[in-house]
Amino acid sequence: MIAHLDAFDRHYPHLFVYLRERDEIKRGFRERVKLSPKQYERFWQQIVREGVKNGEFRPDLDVQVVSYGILGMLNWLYKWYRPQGRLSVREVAEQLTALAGVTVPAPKRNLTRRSGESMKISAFHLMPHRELPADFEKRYESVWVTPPWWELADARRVGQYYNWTLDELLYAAKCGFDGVCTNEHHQNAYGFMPNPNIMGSVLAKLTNDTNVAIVQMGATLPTSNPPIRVAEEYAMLDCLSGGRLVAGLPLGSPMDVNLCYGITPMEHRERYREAFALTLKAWQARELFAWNGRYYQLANVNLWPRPIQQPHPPVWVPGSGSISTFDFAVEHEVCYCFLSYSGAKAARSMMDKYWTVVTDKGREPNPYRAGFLQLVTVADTDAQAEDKYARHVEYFYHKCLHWPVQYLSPPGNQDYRSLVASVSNPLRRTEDLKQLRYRDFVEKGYVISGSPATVRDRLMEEVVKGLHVGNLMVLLQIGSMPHELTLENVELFARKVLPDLRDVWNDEGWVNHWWPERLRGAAARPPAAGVGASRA
Amino acid sequence: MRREQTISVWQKRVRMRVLSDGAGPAVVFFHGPWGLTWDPFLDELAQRFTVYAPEHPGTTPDAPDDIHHLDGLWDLVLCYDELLTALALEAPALVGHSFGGMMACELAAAYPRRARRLALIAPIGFWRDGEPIVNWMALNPAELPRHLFRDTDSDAAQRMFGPSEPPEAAAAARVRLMWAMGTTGKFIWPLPDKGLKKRIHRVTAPTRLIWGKDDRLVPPVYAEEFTTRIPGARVHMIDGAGHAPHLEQPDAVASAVREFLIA
Repeated sequence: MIAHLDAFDRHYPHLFVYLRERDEIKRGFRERVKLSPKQYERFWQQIVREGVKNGEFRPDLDVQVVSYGILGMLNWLYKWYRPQGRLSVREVAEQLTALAGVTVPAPKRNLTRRSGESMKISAFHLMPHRELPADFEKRYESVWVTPPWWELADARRVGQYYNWTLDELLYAAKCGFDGVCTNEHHQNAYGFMPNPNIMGSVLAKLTNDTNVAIVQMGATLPTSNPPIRVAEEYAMLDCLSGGRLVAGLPLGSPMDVNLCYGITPMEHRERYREAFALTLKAWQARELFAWNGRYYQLANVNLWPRPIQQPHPPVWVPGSGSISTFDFAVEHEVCYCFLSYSGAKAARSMMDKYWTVVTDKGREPNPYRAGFLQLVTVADTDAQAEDKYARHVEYFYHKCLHWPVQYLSPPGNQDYRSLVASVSNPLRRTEDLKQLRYRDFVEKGYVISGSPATVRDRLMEEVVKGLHVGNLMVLLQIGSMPHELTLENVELFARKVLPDLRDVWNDEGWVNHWWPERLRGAAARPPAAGVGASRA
Repeated sequence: MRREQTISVWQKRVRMRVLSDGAGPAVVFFHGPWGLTWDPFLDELAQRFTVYAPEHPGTTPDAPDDIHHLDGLWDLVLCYDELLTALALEAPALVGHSFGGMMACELAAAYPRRARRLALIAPIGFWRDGEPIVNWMALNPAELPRHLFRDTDSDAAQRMFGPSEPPEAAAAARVRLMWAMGTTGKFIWPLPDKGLKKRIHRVTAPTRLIWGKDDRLVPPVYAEEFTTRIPGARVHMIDGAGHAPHLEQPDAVASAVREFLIA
């Protein structure tokens, strides 16, 4: 039994796929699995028979019924077992063995949770098209806004992508990640979850027995009309998940909001800010109210349902380095998340500016005020990582980020101050990504890739400490990365990297006000004055 | 001698600089989405008229954020009405290019007695599914000259897009261009049809359309949208010009406009 569980621990991703989809695994593949299910069943009958014979099992057991029962119990593990979970493999085996009727003295176990406020590490997913043609970036002008669906995609196959995406995030949840992240984008092959809350509701339901946060990164206010739709859906998710929601409130990309959804670039930020204020008020107001806004007018705002988390779920505001968003994030006491594909090295000066704004505005440099998204691929060795992931990383940067540069800044989208700043001091990448290969991306830190030790050290130095980040998001399914390889990446990260990062901030005693309260570790010191969840 | 004044309208929240020159009957020129440049075309008109060229809200130097006080076309039309009052212009001739052509037409529709005559140079304001207008705001700025001008090396093109050296001047020109497109784009995003078809029947001023034969941005067929709706309106096509015929062929356009305005 322990051996069976050990196999789970070592080969979790593969067994996960196998057990979930074995009815669909075709005969050809099955031949490669050494032991057929029938043989394995006989193996277990043999064990039970011997156990009864030498007195370890009760004599009145029916060998066939009991062996099927045990096997069923073990195979059900894929539904709930997490490597790096609360109990070790051996401890789980002991529990199950006791249940199966074999007496093994249970050693004393230490079940206390770790103390201090742990860093939160979440698995991010874009849900990209994984099978774009090899010459995609030569044949088509853009991955966003204009790629022709009928030439490039197939609805049934895309259905498979959505299911893989959910399975990959659920798997991350089982493996020990603190949160799972989805996001909203439109009309593209780069990442197409037009409504992340549809994905989020599945994730919320299927993680209800866990301490995993549902991090929506998130629904875009300016594309939702009226924007209380987002407040409602988030409140639903919070209710559905028992108060595990992190409410990401992104501005939305110009491609999504201006080019696809027709919002005037100059109104984009203003609409966002009004919708943001409306959302926070709609969650918290004790009385029905009228909203007489510039862009939105609602005579009867009386949200049903309201979120479980009070006064409202933690709010994260993703940004891409715009200075006006720094001010906004700090003034509204939200967690600012830099979603960058250029890695920590490129983000350093930007995040330094953010921390300057934080201190200038009299806030403490609590690392949980910041989130960062990093692309990560892990294998047993650096060489294996290159072997396994190089083409998927290149696919991502060459195809998934293939859009005309001006799409990012239609006139009026930046306010005047930001426009002047960005024109006179361009921060946007000037590098031609198409010229870069895997090793360049790794060297420049766009992607952190390699053995668990390599990945751990770089994440720690460049991202976590370098940027002073308490809420880390990692993108583990990258571009064309297939399902099985993604599970491997998730599992290896969870087992070999994540545990070593988690406690980095514990000694400093910061409180993560930006994480659902019921999922936080023990607070090591009380919240500082003026720091807390924002109130409208 | 060119004059310059800045007029505050809209409860003094919107400052609009107005350049003017010449003597004679009043002509108000509404610039296009790429900002106002005083060019030979306006000099030509100033030979016979007093030309007033206001800057679209937000494009006046040192007042970029004034644009945020205007929420829609209705506000903008009222703003221009206030501006004409402030300039003591009862019923000037209105001349407009592209977005400015649309604004001149909107003003003439809202206040038919405000417009003595209407000369529209490649105006926008309509949409045909079969003849989509290129969204210049989604183009790479480097591609703009090719869409706007027949001859991208001409002085006219240089004037509109500003210098590429030194870097400070290029950056300033870039900011100016982007902000001009943003502040005008506020009233026409994502498609330039904002309901002029419902209002244009109110125009009573004699109207002339001027169009570059090689307009790659707003195809000349769009002239029909105006000529079929404004009684007596006629089109004057300009050879050797794209979307900015008054800049590429200033003499031809100026004489066509002058002739029409004097008639």
